[in-house]
Amino acid sequence: MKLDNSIEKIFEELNKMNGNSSDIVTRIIEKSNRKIGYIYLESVSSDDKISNFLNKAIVNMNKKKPFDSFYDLIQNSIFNSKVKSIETYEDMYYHLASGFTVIVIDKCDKAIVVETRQKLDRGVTESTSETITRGPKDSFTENHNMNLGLIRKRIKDPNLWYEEVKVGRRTKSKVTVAYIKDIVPNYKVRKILDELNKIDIDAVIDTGYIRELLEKEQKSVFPKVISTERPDFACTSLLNGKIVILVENSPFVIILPAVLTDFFHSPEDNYQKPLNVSFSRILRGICFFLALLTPAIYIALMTFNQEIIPDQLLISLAIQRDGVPFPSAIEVLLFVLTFEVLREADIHSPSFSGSAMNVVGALILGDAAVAAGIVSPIVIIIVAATSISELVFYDVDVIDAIREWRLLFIIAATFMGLIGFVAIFIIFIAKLTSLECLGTPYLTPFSPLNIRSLKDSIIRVSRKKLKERPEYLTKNLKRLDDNYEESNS
Amino acid sequence: MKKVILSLILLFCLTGCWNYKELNDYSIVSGVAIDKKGNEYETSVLISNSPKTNSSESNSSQSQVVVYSGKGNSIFSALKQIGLISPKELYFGSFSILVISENVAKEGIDSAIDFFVRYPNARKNFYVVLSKGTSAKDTLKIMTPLSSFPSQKITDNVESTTELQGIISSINFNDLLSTILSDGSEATINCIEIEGDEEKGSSQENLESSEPEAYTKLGNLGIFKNYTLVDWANRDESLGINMINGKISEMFLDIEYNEGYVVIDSTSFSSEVNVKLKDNKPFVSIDLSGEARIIEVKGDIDLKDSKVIEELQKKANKKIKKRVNQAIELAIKNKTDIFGFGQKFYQEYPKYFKSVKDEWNNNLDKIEINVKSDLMFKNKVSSKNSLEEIND
Repeated sequence: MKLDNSIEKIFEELNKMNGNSSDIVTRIIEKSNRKIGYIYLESVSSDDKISNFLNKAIVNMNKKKPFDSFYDLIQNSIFNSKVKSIETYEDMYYHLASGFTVIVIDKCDKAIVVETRQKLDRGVTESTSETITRGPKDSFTENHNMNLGLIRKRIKDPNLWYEEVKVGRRTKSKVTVAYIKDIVPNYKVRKILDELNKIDIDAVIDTGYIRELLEKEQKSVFPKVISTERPDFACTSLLNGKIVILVENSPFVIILPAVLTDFFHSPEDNYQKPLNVSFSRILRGICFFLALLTPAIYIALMTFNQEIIPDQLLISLAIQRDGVPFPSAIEVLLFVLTFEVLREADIHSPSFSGSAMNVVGALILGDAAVAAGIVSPIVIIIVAATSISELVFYDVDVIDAIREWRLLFIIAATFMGLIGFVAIFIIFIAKLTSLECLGTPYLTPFSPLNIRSLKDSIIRVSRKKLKERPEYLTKNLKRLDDNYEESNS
Repeated sequence: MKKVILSLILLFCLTGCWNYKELNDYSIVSGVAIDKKGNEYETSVLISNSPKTNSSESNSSQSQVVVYSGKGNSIFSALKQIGLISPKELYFGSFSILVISENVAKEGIDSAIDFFVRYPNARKNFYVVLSKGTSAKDTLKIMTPLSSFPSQKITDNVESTTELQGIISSINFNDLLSTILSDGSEATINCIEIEGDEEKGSSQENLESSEPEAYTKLGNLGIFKNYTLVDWANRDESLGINMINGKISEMFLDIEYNEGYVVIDSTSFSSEVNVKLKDNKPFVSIDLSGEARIIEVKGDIDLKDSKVIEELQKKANKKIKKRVNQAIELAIKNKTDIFGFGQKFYQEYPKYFKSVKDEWNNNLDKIEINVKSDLMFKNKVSSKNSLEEIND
């Protein structure tokens, strides 16, 4: 709707739109026989800025300046770097809610908006969900501009492009797609932008909304995008040829496309010695299978395939199990469930109740259950090993995915022993192979096999040898100059 | 996804829990003994997973052992008798030793072997030993302090002494079977004896005393012809048999010299048996070789002298040859080819062997056997002479 050209009418219309909300502030100043009005929302704007710069400027405005129209005169005398002119009520409200002050002039159908935003964000703080021992410690915040800045200050390349889409009918959240123009193939960016433009939803509060809407094609419990709150990790991914999506008011950004091995990586991997990194990545790989398979293997061996267990161990296991009233499967499920409950409770409980939970979890559920003969000690060991293994992963979605597949494995092993276990394993591999994100198969670089990309997958070779970017992400492969080593030696 | 779910459901429905069995519903058998009393077989099993009842901790992983036995006309019916006694199903998946009593072996072990070949629940790599002088059941019952249960002690013993002693050659069921079934070779099985009081040995007290009242000891080889035990080899003959069969790589030998003695220890002993047919006459050459070192010296022996060393070497080889010849004589006496010469002829000269197969065991004495022993002394010794001499 076009703006009216009378201040009173505009004020009236605005109040009607907003139902006389209490945080609207309006004021009219008369200057050179013309009325100048300004509007702002005191909840998102800074009163100081308005009084110091805007008010002063209007009051002290020199009418003798050689400008034809009053509108231009005002527009050019405001001490602010962010001044825009708008023509519609929708625009006006968007800017008011974003912390702008709107200046309206009598008998003029345009308005000027001036940025007077109040700082509503916590500053850049240390990352809490992805803590590392070495490397940059800053993390993204809820401030969109600050997030973009955290990336921009790391990559000072004109090829780092930001494309912004506003998503959400009510929230009008800014969603920025960041990519490096000459690394990322253009069609991938177009595809994402298309998808984003198609989204017709009333609200986008967090990146979670966007990732869910983008992942709609294939259902899978495994995450197909990486979520991170670390700008350094986002930058590494950008430089590898991935696309980063930032959403206003969310300290988490999403990186896509993701492959399974990405979740075995840690942001820290880039700052440590390659051999050590390879070791911990292999360890995470082992943990992945441990967390996924241990309880199922235990059940299969205990109830169907006892002949696989070595003699001494078999006898020791049999004695431990003696007197336990439940079948092995129930025993394991009971304790897996108990651990999940503990974890769930721990994540959301305030820190002061944490120690109470530790006592309950460790002492009562572990020790007492064994003493009471409800579970055998080996089950406690199995569940503990499983649970610890799953916690080495940074990404909560991976942990959840492992948890769900583990349950399937347990069920299969309960009914069919090792045969059922193997059957589910085949289904598991088939499922993972069928996944893809932006045309990248989920098990790359293992399937399809890409030998050159293996250098930075489950192992990482030294940076000197890692001359090329992953082939499955980009055609612009050159990362390190070919002559680097020769020129140095 | 629908297909996946459907196939999963089918998977579970169609097969069901066809061999679902909790581990604690089993009695884990770790040893089996076969005796014969009159016309009836007595089969005993050693069950090793009954928890210690007197233990104060409820979750103790220590075990107590129980021996159950049953009688029947056949081995299987005797085993089924045990089923009536045992509160849980017997689990044969991990049993490690089969003890056959002497009198069963003398009548023939064919029925026992046949049973275990056919019995699908039993693993086929358990050790086989003969009990000598006692019933097989009693050897299972002897408690020993170093292992948590008796049969484990026997298997540990079989495995460790095979490496060290030379007289013991462990034989597991698979090997035994292939030796017996193939033409031109006969089996030898170690015996196990009880030293001390059997009654006291089978009680829990045996575990608590520092010097056990009774213990089991591995002994010499029993020699088989087909399925029957025909003779026992003595210590020297056992060593000879194992030398020829290449079952040992480690052995020791004491050599008398100058009123004193020298003990040598060989860790890389090996044998090679070659067969030849000369003018339609069988000819076997046995080459024994290895390196040995001197580990004990007593008396006036000048080890610096290379002539002395050479002489010792000669004596050692002579002794080895003597052992080997003793073993061969034993085989000829009992008319049983325990060295598997016939097997070798069958591989090299199948036509010839076929023609003499039936009379092979009776004609062992007609084979010309040439034994060559080539034991070398390696690094002599750390000290050239015996300590006695150094003192002077």
